[in-house]
Amino acid sequence: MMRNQIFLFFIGMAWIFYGVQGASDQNEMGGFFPEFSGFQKSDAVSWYFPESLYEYINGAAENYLNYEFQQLGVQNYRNGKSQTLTVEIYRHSNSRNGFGIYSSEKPLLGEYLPVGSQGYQEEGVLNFFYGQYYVKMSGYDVDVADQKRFPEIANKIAEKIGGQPGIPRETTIFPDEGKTRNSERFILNNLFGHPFLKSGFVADYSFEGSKFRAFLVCGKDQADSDRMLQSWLEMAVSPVKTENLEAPVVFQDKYNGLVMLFRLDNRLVGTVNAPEKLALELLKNLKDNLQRK
Amino acid sequence: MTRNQDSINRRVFLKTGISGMAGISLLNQLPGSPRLAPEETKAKFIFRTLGKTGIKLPIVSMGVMNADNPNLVKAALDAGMVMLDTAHGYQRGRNEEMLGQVIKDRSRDSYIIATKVVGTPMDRQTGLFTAETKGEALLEKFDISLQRLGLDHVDIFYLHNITKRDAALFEPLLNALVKAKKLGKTRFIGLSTHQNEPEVIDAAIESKLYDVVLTAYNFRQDHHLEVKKAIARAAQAGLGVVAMKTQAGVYWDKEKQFPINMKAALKWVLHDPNVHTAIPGFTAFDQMAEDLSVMENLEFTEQEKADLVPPATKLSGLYCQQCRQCLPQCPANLPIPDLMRAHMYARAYKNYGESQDLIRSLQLSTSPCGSCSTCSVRCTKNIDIRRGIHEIAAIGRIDPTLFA
Repeated sequence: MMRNQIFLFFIGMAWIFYGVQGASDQNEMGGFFPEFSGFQKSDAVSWYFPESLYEYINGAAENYLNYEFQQLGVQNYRNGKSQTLTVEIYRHSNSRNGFGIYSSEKPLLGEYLPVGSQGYQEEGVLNFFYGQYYVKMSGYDVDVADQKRFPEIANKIAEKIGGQPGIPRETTIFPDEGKTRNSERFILNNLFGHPFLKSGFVADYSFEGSKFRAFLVCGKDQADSDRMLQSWLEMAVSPVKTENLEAPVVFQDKYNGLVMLFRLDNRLVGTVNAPEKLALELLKNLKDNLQRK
Repeated sequence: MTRNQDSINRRVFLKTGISGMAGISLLNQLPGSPRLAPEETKAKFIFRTLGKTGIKLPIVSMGVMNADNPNLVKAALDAGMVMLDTAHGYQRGRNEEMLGQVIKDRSRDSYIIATKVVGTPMDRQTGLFTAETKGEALLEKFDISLQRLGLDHVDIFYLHNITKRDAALFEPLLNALVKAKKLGKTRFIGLSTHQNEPEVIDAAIESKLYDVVLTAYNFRQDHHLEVKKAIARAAQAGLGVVAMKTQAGVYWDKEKQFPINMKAALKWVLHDPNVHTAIPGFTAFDQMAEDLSVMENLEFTEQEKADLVPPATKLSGLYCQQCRQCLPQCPANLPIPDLMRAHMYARAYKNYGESQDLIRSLQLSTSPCGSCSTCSVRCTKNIDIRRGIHEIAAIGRIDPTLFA
């Protein structure tokens, strides 16, 4: 009897703890929606969680949940002309996933801005990420003069969020030459359609008419990256020389094309679908960058 | 079985690809080059006609929403899938752009493409459109979609995410859809619904204008019988019926302990003959292989039938059933059923005191499996016994006053 009471006590404490923490998170995010001139908050913040995100963005929720979405706050603002600016702040589990969800939606061509960690503006829209937060501002019916204020408003939101800006360090290993600007992405699952590769960073390249990708996959340790490589090599359409994993390993992935990579400690770094000569050059630069950082 | 487990010899498929399934070699073919599923492979697939559109489709199509790898889409088309389903809003347009890259080198009659646009503004509380909702805005977005896809027309243009009869029949948007069809920008028009599906499907029938309905439909919906009946009415009225959300999530539980058998869930939907095709989403080649296998065989295995059992029963079944068949197999003569019971007390019921009492009563060493490097015991329920023992043995070492 006594034990049951204590068990219930612990359960109760846990419930209270998580409840309080949830409320605290909610309150903390509530503070991320600032007041700014020309607009008034038109309603209370609406909150969504993993189990209710579908109610707000329907099928698009899957992509957010994949990147370990935790909480969304939505605040509407109205200006004097009854035009609505909607601010959505998505919290993900960590800054890598914040970047991941942001990068899965960012355009290749766009007007990029130094807001938060990085952002961009399009007609009626300004989106940016800041650490684990992905912020989406939309005001399709807001007139142009007020849309020009979006960066200023975004900066106010970023200030409220606080913390350290910056994009994931891993993306800085991709050399600039030939890289499609702002093409860096973090893919959380099934990189190149292969579950065994799990997650990784990619960047698009375009050289001499060839388009291809560079990638970085980080295993937990060297053995983990070796296992991933071994699984990948099982997909190769012909035998592969693997005596020296730090020299490029070259093989044809049945679905993705020519893969050239090297393994450095726990990392697999390489190119997919790049012409051999260009790939060798890029691999050399990738290795230099990795060893420098 | 789940997406994570082999079902049609995934490794064989992945190693040999489509060629392995069809017995031909693809070694000389690089990704991106046209590779069509050979006729003998296609002949095995089950086809259904998408209502009055007359389009014959394999029963499984590709929900492209979360796919970001063009090679995956290419592989799906090469393997025999025909319809690709995207939307204006997926990945803020990147999804349509990616598809545009994939299809630009393929003949227009080799694939069917469907996209969706949301009508805005919509009152989120009521699910209804407002006086500000204009057909022109819908068509502007649709034009952007065509541009991203690099097409002058799609096959199906859906009004996306309808939850109410009045929204399905909202004249300005319905007129816009009809206009797009008249202009040749789409061959057929439809609507998609994720909620309140029967009412919306009936409205689509009532309109006599929609050609296709795209509806959420799966074995875990509380109201799946109502959806089933509505689908039957739609099919009877000549509408094409496409099913989505067929796999009912990925896990049974919030803790993500118990994955849903995706293949069984997909088969469940397609056992309804009024569903003409389904659009499961996949992001990996092995998931695609699983879905391809459903395209040619809808028969449930015994395991798949069992995997569709509701969670409560399923959860209890995944814990030790005390059949005691493990006992003679253990070289250390461990009381495995008792250990598994203790494990269940801790893991499932969070009753650590009871679990510890039981463990201590067994008077085992702190490392019960210490004398064995591998475990030769095979559980009839596939419980990982060695892991379970390892996890639970430690509880005996914890100060019991913590649980007293």
